[in-house]
Order: sequence, then structure tokens, then C-alpha cells
Amino acid sequence: MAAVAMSSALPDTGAADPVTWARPTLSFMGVPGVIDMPSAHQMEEGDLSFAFNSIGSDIQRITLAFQFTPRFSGVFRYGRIYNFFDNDAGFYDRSFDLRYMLAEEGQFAPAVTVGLQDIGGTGIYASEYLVAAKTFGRLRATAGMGWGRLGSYDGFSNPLGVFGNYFKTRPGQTGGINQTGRLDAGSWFRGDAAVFGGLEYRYSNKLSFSAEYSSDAYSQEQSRIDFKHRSPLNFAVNYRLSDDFDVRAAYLYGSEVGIQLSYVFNAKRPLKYEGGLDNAPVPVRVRPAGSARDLGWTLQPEARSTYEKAIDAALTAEGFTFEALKLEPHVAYLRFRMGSTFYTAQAVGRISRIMTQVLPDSIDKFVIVPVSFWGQPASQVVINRSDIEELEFAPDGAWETFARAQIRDIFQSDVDLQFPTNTFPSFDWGVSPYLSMAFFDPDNPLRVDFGIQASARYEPSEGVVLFGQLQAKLLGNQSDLPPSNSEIQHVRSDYNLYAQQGEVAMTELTAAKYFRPGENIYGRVTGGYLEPMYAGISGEVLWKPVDSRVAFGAELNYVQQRDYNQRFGLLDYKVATGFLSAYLEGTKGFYYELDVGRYLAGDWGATLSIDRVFDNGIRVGAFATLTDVPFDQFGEGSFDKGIVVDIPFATIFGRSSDQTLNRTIRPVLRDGGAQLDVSGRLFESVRKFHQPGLERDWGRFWR
Amino acid sequence: MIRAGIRSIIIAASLAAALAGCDVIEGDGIVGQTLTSYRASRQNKGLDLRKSITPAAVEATGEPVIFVEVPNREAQAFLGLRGRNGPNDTWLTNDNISISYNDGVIVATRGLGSDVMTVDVSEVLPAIRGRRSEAMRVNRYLNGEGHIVPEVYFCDYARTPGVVADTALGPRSSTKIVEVCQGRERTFENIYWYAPGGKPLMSRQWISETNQYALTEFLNN
Repeated sequence: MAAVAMSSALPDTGAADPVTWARPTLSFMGVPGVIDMPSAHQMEEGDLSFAFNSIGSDIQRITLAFQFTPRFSGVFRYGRIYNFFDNDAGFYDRSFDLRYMLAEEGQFAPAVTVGLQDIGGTGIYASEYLVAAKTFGRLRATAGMGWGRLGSYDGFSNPLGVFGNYFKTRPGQTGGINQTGRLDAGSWFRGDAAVFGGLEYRYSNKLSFSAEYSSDAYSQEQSRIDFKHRSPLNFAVNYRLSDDFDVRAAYLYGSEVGIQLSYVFNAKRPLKYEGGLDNAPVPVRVRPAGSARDLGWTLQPEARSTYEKAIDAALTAEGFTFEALKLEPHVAYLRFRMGSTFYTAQAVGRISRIMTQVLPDSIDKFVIVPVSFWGQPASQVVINRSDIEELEFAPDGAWETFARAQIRDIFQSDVDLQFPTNTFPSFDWGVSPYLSMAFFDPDNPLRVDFGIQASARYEPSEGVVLFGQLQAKLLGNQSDLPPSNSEIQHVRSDYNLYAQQGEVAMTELTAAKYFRPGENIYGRVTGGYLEPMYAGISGEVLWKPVDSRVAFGAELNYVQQRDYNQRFGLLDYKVATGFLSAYLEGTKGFYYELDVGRYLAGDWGATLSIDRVFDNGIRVGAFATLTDVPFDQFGEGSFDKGIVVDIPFATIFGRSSDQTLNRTIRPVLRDGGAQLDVSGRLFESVRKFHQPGLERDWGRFWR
Repeated sequence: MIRAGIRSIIIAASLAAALAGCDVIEGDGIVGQTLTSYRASRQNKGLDLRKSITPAAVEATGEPVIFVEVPNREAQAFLGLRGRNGPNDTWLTNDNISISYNDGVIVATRGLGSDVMTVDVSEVLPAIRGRRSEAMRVNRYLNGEGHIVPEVYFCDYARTPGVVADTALGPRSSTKIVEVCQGRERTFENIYWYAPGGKPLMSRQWISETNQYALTEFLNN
């Protein structure tokens, strides 16, 4: 009963595709490259790549790279070399690279990239390079010049020496192997240089072959471990298992076999089903002509509670939390929380359609008030009902509704929303697994604790939140972390003691008040057991106009260190800590935050955070803190820094979820530049409800 | 749980509307198979919902019903009429996936994933009706960042009256329209069969790269 012939016109995605150079292969340093040498092309903007490899049995590297812009990428690498020291099983090395593409490949001109490899680590991979690559059909040729480690094989006098003797010699590594964390800018592009080059032949879109001449002599490995550099020539084969996975094998330096598995995740395309898999929204109900004049419903005594119940049921069914409804003859005000949903504009779009279904025809205007996770009304979105009716199927309906909607601060509004009796007090609880990770302990680079957490939240009235959370560890090895050797106040580095003694821990028990002191101003006061290591009081004020990309905040905390067992006891250490903060949602998806103030160890300084935030909510960023703690007192790493990866579940699973996968990765966790980790910070909790955040989401209004 | 969602909304709407004294689109109990249950059942039993389509079964639903199959997703479902906005009708499966048609032409899907958000049919509809032989068609999609991305197609139309359409309910006399659309990325070919009175009978229409084509049977027309 084949009613419809399906034979024709189905596109053939078969084998005869032309060869494309869509994504570069990753080198054994985890960056676009030939084999062990870097190349000049870049990954696609938003690519987050992971490369795991092993060279022989003694050298292993894990590299995490992120393409922040089409031309700029940042790299974090964790390397392990066995038997590097006579008295030690292995040497662990953390390194950061930066790569910038100076020129894209043109018809005649090659792609050109400059790279700084290992700018802040121990210096074992420290090198700089300038590399060019040109594609000729299936063949891509790469040639470059390297300094530092990449100038170590068959090097020659630095051609930059023409600019002065400064470039002719490269100073020795700053400090010893444990004296890490400073930018070695003073040695960049100095000392001998050497050339490298390679060819890559793409046999098909899955299979490619590479050969290269390496300028890396592997001197340290030669002298310290059983590594033989017999030849500068390397050969490799690369097989693309799928769009995301590559596997490659190489014969390196005439002596070693290397294997690598790599995975690439693009933050701009996190899911095959773009737009997500959420259910269809409620369709719009269009009012019959003339019905808007009927105000008969206003005379019904039970009208308000009937509509409240209907709206409450409809919102709950879509995962929202209903808070309040106020009906005037021609205007409806609706206050809600996101509940399990993630995208504000999608929420506002769905609620608008629910309102067309449920509310009386005389209501022409919807005023939708999203409330932050912590109970603060964050804005009001004013939408004409007739626009919803008119634009449901309009070809460019998303932007037309955005253009016609008004987004305003809620503070000035004279709306007095009465809460139905079942809104407050509200009670919510949850039980979920948790996974905490500690990175880069030399004895065990990844330590994991796994357990169950239970939380409860009680809101007796508007803006008052009582919150508690318990964690019970089921298994893990974080308690074996080595004891702190920090010379300054141990404000964070006693992590091991907290892990050992806090098998069952009260990670948070707080009472908080969220309030609106004035137009564009948000306030918070939180008291209690604020986080696993500190108890006390925390106050914050934020200035953030609803249409602004700029915000300023001030935070002041007085806290006392908590007992390691994370019950009710406290240790002796007390400190006042606080910051003035400036926030900027910049162009091209870059967010900036600067915090200036006093940190937990009493040190004064500033933290700069730069994040690339995609409009779907995925965030990859980096931060660094400099304080008045001297580098040598700070210890390994010299100052606090790290990277942040935040991936909302909604983006990878395609279904509405308020959960995110959030990891902060620090090369080392020390005591300088440490901030309090209090819940409910204001900027993050309100910004997605303001105009810039809504604008980014608005394509989903009709989703 | 969410499956109960839209139903409870419509029940809630009925309640509120009853109070307000106006009509809502009501209904429940589409022939009880869904896209998801079909996926499971097809693997287990090789069930083909199309085989259950008979005039008596359509009559028994007591409300307008269409049948849609998306072969690339191995999905079949019956859909009930749940929304009307001007010429656009929105039909919904039991597990809350919707497809909207304007005079038989798909103008939106929701809930499939990789949905077509809107279709600009201002030139397509006159072409289908034989008043022009070519048309510009703009389909809009969400990309991975949640931005609306238009895809522009230029389409040619060929009408053949007096074709016997082999519908699920048996052979029907029809006008067959073949729409060939060329865009930057791809070419697709939609086929529509309309009854002599102009009502849509069935069609094969492109949705999106991930979903490919949807086959529709308008069982009441």
C-alpha cells in the first residue's frame, strides 16, 4: 500500500563526495598540525577539541583546545613523562598555548599562523612558531619556523638577530621546575631558530596520510628518559571515524610509535536536532471578531480564581512555575519562574500562547514577568495579544514579535500582584547524584568523589529563601590528596581535609533575602553556612538597567572558616572579603568581568574573567587573579588562574532542563586570590531576563 | 507527564472559556498511536499504522484526522486538529508533535527536532493553484545557537489533472502538482495531490535535512 512513491529525489550522501578540508587534523600537541608540528589552519569557531595520545610508553599528553574566534584559539595541555626524574615515577606538566591566524588561505596566498606554545607552564614545551600552509587539491603543504623547543633540531642563528642582539640568545628557563606560572615573555622568539615542514595528503574525507620534518630535538626526553631521536622525519595516518572522532597512528623520530584519539565538539552545533526536541507549544487561539468587547467575565465572582487555576495548570504542564496572575479588563499580568526550562524567550513565547488559549477575549495586552531562580522579579515583557495572533505563522515572526515587544524594568511598575494562597510559602526538594573532581595531583591527575546530594528550599514569602544541601560521599579518592604546603593562610588548600572529614557534609544552610532597593538595582543578603568551607554573612548590590550590556556590583562578606567535617562547627579564621565588580556583555559573544577587592586570605587584588558565551548558553572562558601575595609565597603556579566550561544540558540533550555541566579547571588550587563561593550572585541570576539576553534567545520565541 | 500537558491546557482552556462563554477547539482521543510508540512497536512487531486506515476507523474518531509518516525518522502518527489561525491549521500527535498546513502546504512543524519554523508561502500557494509556474519559497530554521536561519529556494511547478491518487483510503481522482525547489544547499521535490474540489488529499513534502520528507494523508478530504 505504498501510497507515495519514495524512489526519486532523495539525496544521495554516498561515497563519491569531493574531498574537503573541512577540519584540520590535530597534531600530537593537540593543535591543528601535520604530525608533531603545528600547521597554519584553524579549527572552526566554537570547536572544543580533546586529544589523548601516547608516544611510545613514556610520553602521554591530553590537550583541550578551544577556538574562541575564527582566528584565535587557546589550548590547555596536561602532559605526563614517566621516569623523567631519577627519583620519581613521572613528571606532570601543565601548559597553555595561544594561536592566532594572521592570514587566511587565499587563492594564491597561504594561511599564516603565529603560535605561543607553553606560555605559562614549566617551560618544557616552551616554543614559538610562525607557520604557513597552502592547499593544492588533495595535498596540503606546511612550512614554518620555530624558536625554543621548536628551534632545537638543526637550529641556526636567529634571523630576528638583524633587529638586535636581544634575539640572538634565549635566556634559561625562569626558575626551577616547580617555579611555574609566569609568562616567559622575556624569552619569546629568542635564541636559535629552525625550520620545519610537512605534507598532508587527503585520500578521502575519512583517510589522510602525513609526512613531516620536525625541528624538535626532544633533547630533554633523550637525556632523561629512554627516548631515541634517530630521525627528524615523522609519518602518520589519520582516520576520521565520524564527524566527531579521529584516530591516528604515527611513526615518530625513527624510534617510537604514537597513537592518538581525538574528539571535537562544536559549541555552535551541540545537537543534531537543531532547535531541540521539546514538545510542540500550545497553538495560538485567535479571538473571533468583535469578541474583545465582551467584558461579561469581569462580573463573574469566581473569575479570578478560575483563571488562576487554569493558567497554573497550563504552566505547570510545560514545566514552568506559576506565581501570580492579575487581570484587568484589557491587561493581564503574569508572574512566573522558569522551572525546568532554560531559554527565556522560548518560555515567554509559550506563555503568551497559553494566555491566548486561556484568558478572556477582552484582554489585549500581556505583561509577562519572569522571576529569577532566587525569586527576584527581573523584568517585564509586554506583548500585544493581537501580535501573537497575527505573527504565529508570519515568515519572519520571531523578529517581528521582538520588534513589537517591550522589555522594561519591573521595579517602576505600579502593578501590585497579589499572590494566590498556594504560591507562598513554597517548598521544593531534590535528590541527585553529584560528581566532584580534583585535577592534576601528581600522584593521581584526576581525583573524583561521587555521591548523593539532597537539597531543600523553603520560601516563606516573596524574596525570602531558606536553602540547605547535604552531600554524602559514596566513593572517591579525593581524601588522599596531599596535605597543603601553602605558606599563607590555608583558605582553600586544605581541600584534602574537607574531603577526608566531610564524608557526610552540610554543604550549604542559608537564609537569604532578595530585594529591589530601587530602579535598575538588585539586592541580596545571605547568612548562614554559605559554602563547604565558609560560614558568615554576605551582602551584594547590583546596578543593571534592563536594556544595558553593562552592570556594576558591590559585594561585602564577613566569614569564618568552617570545620573540616562541614557540620555546624567553625575554625578560628575570620576574614572580611569583598569586591567591586564590573560586567560587560561585549560584542561577538565575549563577556568580561573585573572584580577588584579583598580575597579570602586577606590579600588585595583583582580578577579578570573573559568568557566566550554562545547564544545557546554554552560558555568557555578563562580567568586570572593577581593579588599582593608574592609569587614565591603563592607557591606553584605563582597566581590563581583557570578555565571554565559550562554546557547547559538543554543544548546537548535538546530537552528543556535547568541543569548544566559546569567545570572550573585550575592548574593548581592555592590560597592566594581565592573568592567566596556564595549562591545566588545577582548578575548571573538576572541577566538572562534582560533585553540583551532575551534578544539572543528570541529566535526561539515561536519554538 | 508532559503528554498530559496540552490536553490539560485544552481542558483548562475549556473551563475558562466556558466561564467566558466562548468556544475553544476541543477534542481528545486521536486514534491511539504516537510517533514514539510506533518507533518501539515497529521494531517489535513490524506494525504499520497505515494498514489500520479504513473509512470506518476514520469515521469512528469522530473528529478531523490526518495521517503523517516521516520515513527518515521511522515515525508514523495520526494527528488531530488543535489550532486554527486564519488559513493555517495546526495538527497535533498524541505525544505533542505538531505540523501546521496552509491549504495543504506545510508551513511549520514543532517537536520533531530540526523543525521548520516558518515557510513563506506567499508565492508558493498561487503556484500550487496554477496561477503561476514558479515561486520563491523561504523556509526558516533554528540553528544550533537558536538563531533563525532562512533558506531560500526557487521552485518550478508542474500540474497534471486527472491523476488517480493512490490514497490510504483507496484510489481518488486528483490533480497532481510537482514542486521542484532549488536552493543553495540542496534540491527537493514535493508532490501534492488535490481533490477536484481543491481540498488536499495527500502529499510528500520536504521538512528539513535531518527529517527529510513527510508524507501526509488528509483522511477526511
